[in-house]
Amino acid sequence: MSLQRRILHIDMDAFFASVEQVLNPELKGRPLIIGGDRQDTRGVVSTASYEARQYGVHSAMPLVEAKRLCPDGVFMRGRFEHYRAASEKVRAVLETVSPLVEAASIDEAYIDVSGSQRLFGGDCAIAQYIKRRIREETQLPCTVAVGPNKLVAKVGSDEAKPDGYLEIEAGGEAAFLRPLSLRKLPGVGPRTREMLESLGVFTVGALADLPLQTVLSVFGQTGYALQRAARGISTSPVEAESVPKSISRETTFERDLLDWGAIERILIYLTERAAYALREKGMEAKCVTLKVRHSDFKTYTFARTLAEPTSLDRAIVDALRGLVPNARERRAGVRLIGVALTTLTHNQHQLRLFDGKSSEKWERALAGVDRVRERHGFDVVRLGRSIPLGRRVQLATPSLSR
Amino acid sequence: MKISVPREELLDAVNKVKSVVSAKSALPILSHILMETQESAVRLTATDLKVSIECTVDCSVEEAGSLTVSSQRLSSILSELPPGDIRLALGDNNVIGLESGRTETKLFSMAPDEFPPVRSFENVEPLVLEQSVLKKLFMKTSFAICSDQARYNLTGLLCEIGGGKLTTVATDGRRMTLAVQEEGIPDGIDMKVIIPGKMIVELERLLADEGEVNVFISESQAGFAFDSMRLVTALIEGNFPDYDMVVPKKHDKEAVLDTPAFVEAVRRTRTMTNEKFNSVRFQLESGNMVLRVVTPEVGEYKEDMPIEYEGESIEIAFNPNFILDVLRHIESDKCCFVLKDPTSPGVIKPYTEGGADTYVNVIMPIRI
Repeated sequence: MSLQRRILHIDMDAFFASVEQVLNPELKGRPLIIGGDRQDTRGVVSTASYEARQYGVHSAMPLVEAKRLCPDGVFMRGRFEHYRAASEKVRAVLETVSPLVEAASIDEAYIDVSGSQRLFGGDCAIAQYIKRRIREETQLPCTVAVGPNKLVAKVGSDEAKPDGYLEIEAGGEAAFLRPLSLRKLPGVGPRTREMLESLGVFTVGALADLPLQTVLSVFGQTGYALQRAARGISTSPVEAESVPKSISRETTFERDLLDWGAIERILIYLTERAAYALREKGMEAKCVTLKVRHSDFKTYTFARTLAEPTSLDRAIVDALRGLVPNARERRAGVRLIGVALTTLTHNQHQLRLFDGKSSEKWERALAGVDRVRERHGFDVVRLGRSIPLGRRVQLATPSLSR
Repeated sequence: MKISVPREELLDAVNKVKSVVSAKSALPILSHILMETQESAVRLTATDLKVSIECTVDCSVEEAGSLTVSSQRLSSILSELPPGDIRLALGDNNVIGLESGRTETKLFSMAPDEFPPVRSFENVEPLVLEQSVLKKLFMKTSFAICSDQARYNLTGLLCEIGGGKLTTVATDGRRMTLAVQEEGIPDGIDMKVIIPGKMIVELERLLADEGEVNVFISESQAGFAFDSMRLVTALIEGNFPDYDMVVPKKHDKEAVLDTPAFVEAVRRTRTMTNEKFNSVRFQLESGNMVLRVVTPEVGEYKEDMPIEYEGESIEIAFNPNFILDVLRHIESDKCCFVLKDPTSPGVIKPYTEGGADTYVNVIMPIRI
């Protein structure tokens, strides 16, 4: 007997803001903007509470503009460790429903619930169970949609927000998407939308109705995929253990920095963060990229391929240090610095003939450090050369504490 | 300078020397080939300052002298010209005239005295070896030369002569390969040098299967003269790991495998790996070996292969390319696969009835 495919999408409502409101009930009901404090003139909004959204504030908006739109708002820098803890609790709830859970981001996940129908008694029961359990565990609101595939489930939860539930029947995908604006369809960006609008296409339904030849001639192969999406057709599976393609950590400074000594210390800290995440996933990286954004927003990247894939902080730091002189050539204030680890391998640790002893010693040491971090938080153990956070150097973006 | 030379012979010589010329060099003269006349021949030289290649071609010399010419230009025009004699002359203002049949080419050149000199080894006594011997040893070991310039001392091939034996060793830190030649090596010579990988590549390409080669070794350079060729290289100064320490002595699990069957099995198994997941598990048990690979998002593969093995069961993972690199150079029908535990190196060597090992390959496993 073949199961009917049912995919659930869950999206936490104004996640960072909601977490802050749970931690500090005085913030409930107030327009709350996460991204940077009141003095921050440079950051962007990472999350706005629903109260703040009524003023027109939305994520990715410069904080300066958010302050203009919502002068009475509460502005906060993010506390990522709390968001992450909440996210982990949510995930634990989701895993009681089905083993097929794909975390799309910190506040979003897909679950293949095809096999959980009989156990729970249908889509609606599953959704109610999830919403109730998450409330119990975290007091956080979320929106859930269930549909025949990931695409419609995702669009569905977006439509049902906040604190909502929506069910899209098998066969009803196209009808559900038809009246929606193009911007609601995943995969349609501003450029694609502009091109479609020039063809007189303003709704998902109109895109679905376009002759295939027209779509193909305008968009090529992407057009085919685009029209399938517009018709609610999607077969991409829920990937429980997705293998990341890259791991990166970056931060924007509160003030532009010229002192490369200070910048390097932050870089080491970011590397420690990234390498920790790398080891957590049992991965190693072969390519290290240094990213620098200057005061004038010009962004440069410098990459180096390592001789051997590594997960050791030390090896990554050494590679970055080799790249710093190139980055320093442009004498301008540094606004953002970041490290990206790419060409990742999983469980592929090639043992060495000669220098294995020393790296193995480091590996053992770091494994110990990581165990301590798992219990007491990342910052309890740090490399000597890394920064003392929070004193001399202020970091403006919450991504750093991820 | 004025010479006349058959096109094919000149082109052949240009192609032999030009591979060391780097496309973009800080020194423009290094993109050129130096041509110098001899009695009734012309000698072509190309260099990247580390490796130099000379090739001598017979020709008729009307006027002795020397010139330099862009290796890229010369090789392109020669490849397009019809067969026949080429007349090459250096005119005023360093302009070279190249005539052939009804064609006429003018090429700008540079002053020959700008060209860096190549060491001559006039007072060095050569070591005479068979070209085929050297070529074979290089081919058997060069694949393991390290390509990471950060590990400079490993970017060459160790060549050691002593006790009437010539040993070549290469390692990139993950595997080591060692080949020994005992026949035709003169007694009473002791030396140990690291020859850069780039030089080895050139020698493998240019050494013939017959004839002798004169090897010149000085403190910092080595020269190889054979047929119409002479190659000179700077030696790598640095320590090479003690290869004898690397070869495991206490391995107790030895399997004997059919070499072609092993190659085929590893090649099949490798089809299910990709760049990121490139490890194959080898599970040895009495009389049988299971090759297995599980690659996320790609697939799985499993194969049983009969082997001669009596020891304890063991499972170990290797990069299949390292195994194939070795097996490609094993000529015997059977080979030995020697192991200890999953984190100790594996050894692959040809199967011989008694006698000393003349080809040993040590490969570090991938952690399971």
